[in-house]
Amino acid sequence: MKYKECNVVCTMHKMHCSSACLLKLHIRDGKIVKITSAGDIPRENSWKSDNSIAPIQRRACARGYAELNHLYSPDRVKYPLKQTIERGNPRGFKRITWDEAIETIAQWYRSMEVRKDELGYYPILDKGGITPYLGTCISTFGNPSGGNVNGAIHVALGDKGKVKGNSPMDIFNSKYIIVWSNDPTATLPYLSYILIKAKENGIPITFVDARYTESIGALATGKNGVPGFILVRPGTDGALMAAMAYIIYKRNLHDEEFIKEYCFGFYPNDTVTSHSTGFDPVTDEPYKGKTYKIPKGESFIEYLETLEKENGSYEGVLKWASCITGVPIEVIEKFAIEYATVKPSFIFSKYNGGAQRTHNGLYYSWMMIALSAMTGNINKRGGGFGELRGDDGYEVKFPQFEKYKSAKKYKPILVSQFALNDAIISGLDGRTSAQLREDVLNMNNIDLGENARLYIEAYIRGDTSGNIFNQTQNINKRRIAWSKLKHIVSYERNLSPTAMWSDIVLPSQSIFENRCNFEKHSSAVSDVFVLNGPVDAMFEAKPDAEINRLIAKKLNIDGFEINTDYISFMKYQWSKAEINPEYKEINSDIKLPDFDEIIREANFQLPVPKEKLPIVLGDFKPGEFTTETGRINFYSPFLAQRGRAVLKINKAQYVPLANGAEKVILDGGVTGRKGIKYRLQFITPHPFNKANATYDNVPTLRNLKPHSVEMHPEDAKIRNIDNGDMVYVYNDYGCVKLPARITATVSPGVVVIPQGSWYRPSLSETYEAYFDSDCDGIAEKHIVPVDVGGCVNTLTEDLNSGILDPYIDGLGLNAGGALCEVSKEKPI
Amino acid sequence: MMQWGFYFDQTRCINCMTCVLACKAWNHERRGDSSIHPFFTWEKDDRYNEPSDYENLPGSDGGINYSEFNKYCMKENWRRVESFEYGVKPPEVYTINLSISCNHCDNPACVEICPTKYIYKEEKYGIVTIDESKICLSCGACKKACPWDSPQFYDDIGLYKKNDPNTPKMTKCDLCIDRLEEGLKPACVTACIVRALDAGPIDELKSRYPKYSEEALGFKRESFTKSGLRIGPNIIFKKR
Repeated sequence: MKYKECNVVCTMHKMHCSSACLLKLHIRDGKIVKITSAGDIPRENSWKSDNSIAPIQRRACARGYAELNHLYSPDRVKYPLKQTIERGNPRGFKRITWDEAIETIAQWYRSMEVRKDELGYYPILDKGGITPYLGTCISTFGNPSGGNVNGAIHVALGDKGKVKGNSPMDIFNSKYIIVWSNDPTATLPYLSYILIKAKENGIPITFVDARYTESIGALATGKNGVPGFILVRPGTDGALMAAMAYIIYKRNLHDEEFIKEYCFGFYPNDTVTSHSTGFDPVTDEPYKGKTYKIPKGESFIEYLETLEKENGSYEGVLKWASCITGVPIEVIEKFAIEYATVKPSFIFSKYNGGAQRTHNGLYYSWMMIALSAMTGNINKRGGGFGELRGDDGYEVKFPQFEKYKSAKKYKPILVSQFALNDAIISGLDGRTSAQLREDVLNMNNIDLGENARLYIEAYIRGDTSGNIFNQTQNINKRRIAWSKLKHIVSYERNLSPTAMWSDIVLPSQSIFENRCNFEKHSSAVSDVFVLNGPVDAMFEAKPDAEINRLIAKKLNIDGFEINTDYISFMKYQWSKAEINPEYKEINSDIKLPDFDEIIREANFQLPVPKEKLPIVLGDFKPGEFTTETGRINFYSPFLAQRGRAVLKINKAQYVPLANGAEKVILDGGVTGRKGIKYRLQFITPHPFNKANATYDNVPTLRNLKPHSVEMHPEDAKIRNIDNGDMVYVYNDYGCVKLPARITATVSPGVVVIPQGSWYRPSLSETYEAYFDSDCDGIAEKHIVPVDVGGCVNTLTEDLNSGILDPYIDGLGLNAGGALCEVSKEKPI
Repeated sequence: MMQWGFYFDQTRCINCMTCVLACKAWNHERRGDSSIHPFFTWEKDDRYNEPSDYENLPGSDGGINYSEFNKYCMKENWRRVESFEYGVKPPEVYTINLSISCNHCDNPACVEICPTKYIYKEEKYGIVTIDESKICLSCGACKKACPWDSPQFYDDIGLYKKNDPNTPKMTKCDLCIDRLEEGLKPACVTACIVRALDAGPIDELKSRYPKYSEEALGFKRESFTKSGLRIGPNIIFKKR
């Protein structure tokens, strides 16, 4: 087929990676028949554009090209579906009309009015539906992506709105790049290209990770005797950092002047009267003028001295860290010295890595801030504290798009996303009754009374991203919890597990259907995009906003009219568009494209030369951070007073996982309630052929690398497992069945199960799981189906991690580092 | 004839397999089973109205029905990435990747062995491609003869009885000749995220990448056709 026969439309790939790559959709007869990307330019004179990183061709990854088979997938939800047998049974879904679907949902809302009058709020968990516009309902707090690191940023550096990491492009200002628990080749592919340029420019790179990745293969070079790849046991990164901090301190390599000027809590008895520019999120009172003194024993130096006391000597501390992490003593020492003395050293971590998404992830992130603060790298060009911003500091401003004409939202009651199972079952999400009552009273003006409990009786998964059935912990307990929900509705495109467990599934449109709007921000370099959806809606799919409008209309609620003339609105937006005037000082020639051009090209970038990249932390004057102390906190008085740190620790330190590497080293594992010892740590990285729970139904991607559990030959041999054998991976929470892939790239003692695969209960095999499903603190036996989809959350425990506080974004996910066993025979 | 070939930078390849899927996203309408399971036909009939049409079918044990959805996907891998592991355990391990499609050889083993002249070397770019006016017998001799597995079938031809007219026909990389004719780059080169792939007249590639190597880990250059001619694959590398 000739290229010329197609009409080519440019769009951004709106996907759960935030990279916003360019897709060129080749359309014939109203159908997308080919996809190319930003590199698809004429061959002549293409060298400069192809190899530039500022501006950069955002080239789609395999997932972008797979959209052909994803969009046109036979399992697309074509019509509204109603479950007629039992939740989770695909054969029970029957086609119904839109009218019947909307009427049924409206009836459910009407029945919930009674409960609303009884409770004072709608007991409906709503993500993207219309309930927040009807009255107070329930939503979640907690951030599966960056909850732990966001918490660390909040308590150590201040309000996340004011604090930003360095840009990825800032690596070119650095003399040493440390990529810590990040695999850009899988999660943010074009950042790998930027790193390759840095490597080829001679900037040394060291990776710290719990397994070998392709990123390591292409990029890890090492520096001065520090290897390119430092392997740590899952969950022990904080121990490596604690040892590094100790070495830096003992060798006097820390930046005392910087610490004294900018930090709080490093020295014993540290006292400060705050010049903070921030406010207490609970009381709204300014922090300025308050005095804070660090309690005895809580300073960072006292923590390091405790390490020394517990381990006997300098050598003892290094030996301890080496024993826990598996990193050789010489490497720990060299790494610490190198990081402290090479100025600046850049930590490239972001939130996609496994170390942040563990039960101790808050402290891993806090230690990273501590290390970068004590060396002074934290607020320097070419330095940073691990987080990366997705742009280079400048933007094109234009009026925001208001989704609905006039509908106004009520503030929802927030419940922990990760303890949602418990919240549905018992009404509490890990907070005490008193804490829940206080939070809801202050935030929503509703008094839940003594013995406060929350009622959650329905779930609407509407105009939102996120597949919480599949992507949050403890699926077997979820099956029990969700059976207590009276109504579950999903707006979806495929029968993902959340849709599979719904009572009604409403077909919604994809990013390629019938839309056009501006978007901003990606993973590097500032820009504006156009999300162009040039094909017609498939079958009876409707836009999410339209579904909401129909339901609202049925309930006689106004304000949900949608502006469907999006082109006029975009013309209006673009007529008011202006480039940040500060950017014009960097690039005086820059001009906004005219409207036709921006719609056609769908991308406009504002590249910044490396010496002009904004360094947000560098702009804070000493003492004027938005933390309570006004300083970079090694200890947080706010956190201590608030009392919501899940692990009850309010400072930067290493916190071991309760059932992690230490247990394996000391006891060979942990014996579960069944009397079986779980000896292997499992980690759950992002694979290169999925984007969280998207794409598991696309064979083109799956065929590249079928889902499997990756094991080292040593671990496989003693379990009699050969490459390709079907095996069971199990612990107290459940059992998954999938093929084994034997590879030397995985560490002995660790198994790797990529995340995002869809939970699928076996029709024939069951397993005895043990977990507490009635919230009385005692685990019971549960006969559950084996998961033949291989979803990691069949194995994860539903814990709260980080900071259990709806006032701040500090609640994170615990995805890996916990224990399991693997066998060829099905365990009981 | 200006012989075209490929360049592959083994030091940059991140095994993301974008090249594999970019090729399919461009060429999928020419996959071998496109007439048996045309891409959009399922939309027009009632085959997949409700999940019970295709889910939890007998023998499936509840897993996702990939085999059903796979009918509409391109199964041939005109471009393939192979990965070789070295080392015993981390951290002293590494993988080396090799992305190959077809090397549009000087003396292609497949052209020589094909009994019906279905495969030939065209005259403008030296691209090895198929002649639609001829017949493919699905004998598989080309696939056996090629040292790099370039001839592709969407299914295992060994599963089909002799003379079964439904036996898959051979398809393969044609260096995106349709794109070259428009002044564009092949789909895989265009797509590579780390710019590890290039294509062009082989002499131009050699001068553009003067430190090139003719060998790479996992790639054996020295190979011969059945009659003893040196095959001469048109590919150069930056090797690890």
